[in-house]
Amino acid sequence: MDEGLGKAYLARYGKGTKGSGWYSFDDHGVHFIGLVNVVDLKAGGLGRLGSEQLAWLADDLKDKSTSMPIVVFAHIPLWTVYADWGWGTDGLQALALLKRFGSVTVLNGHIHQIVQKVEGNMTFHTARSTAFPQPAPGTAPSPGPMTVPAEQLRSVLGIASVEVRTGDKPLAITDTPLAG
Amino acid sequence: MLAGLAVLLSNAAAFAADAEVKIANFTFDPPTLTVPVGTTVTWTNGDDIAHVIKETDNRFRSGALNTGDTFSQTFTTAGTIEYFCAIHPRMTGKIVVTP
Ligand SMILES: [Cu+2]
Repeated sequence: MDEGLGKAYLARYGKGTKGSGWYSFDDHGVHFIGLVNVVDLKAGGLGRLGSEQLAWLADDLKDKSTSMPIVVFAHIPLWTVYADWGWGTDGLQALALLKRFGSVTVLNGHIHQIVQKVEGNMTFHTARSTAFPQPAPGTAPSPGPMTVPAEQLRSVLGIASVEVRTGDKPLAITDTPLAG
Repeated sequence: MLAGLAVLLSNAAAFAADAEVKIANFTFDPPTLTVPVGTTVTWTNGDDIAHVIKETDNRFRSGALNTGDTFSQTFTTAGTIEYFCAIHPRMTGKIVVTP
């Protein structure tokens, strides 16, 4: 673990990022935003973005068209999955800033299991881990690593990937010309 | 002879015994530990995952404690010290240091 509060990590993987490592970029007309909600956490609390990062986010989004698809990623879920275990982020302002966009996809980790949720135009996804599984919210005394029989382990570990898949079903609305 | 023994005993009391906090299952055990001034408290991480002990106002902070790692702190003034895990901030604990 980096005792310099992320300095060595950022020097290696975070060149050109802001603050504790947040950044954004555009690709194929999509705006991608990487947020950091794991730095300077407070006792008893959730993930934390901090005022400097929130100000940066507001500025980053201010000139973006609402029709631009947005993809946001951060370690701890940006919405509250289970506050008792700290599975959420003190980030309502961030979600408020994203509300006006037509398509927002939020990708998170931290909880080592899949939870999905749709709220308005925002879709939230968490992912499995390759390290160890964790219990479903509230089903164990603590969120510590979950021990499963060895032969089941690989079924509760995993990675998340995003790909474009062309559907084979026609859309519900079909347009037919009168002739030709 | 008896007076000498009494002095020895009170000296022994002034050198407080060391105390321990175990970290297991994302919990500090005991969550509140009461010790006399001068006690050295040692935390031992019994989890398979790293934890970091941090005093709420950052007056002390352990490095990352991997499985089996320990961190010690001697408390020389009375008062209540609150701490938490800097990686898993829902984990909180208290040391009550009595005069
Ligand atoms: Cu921890």
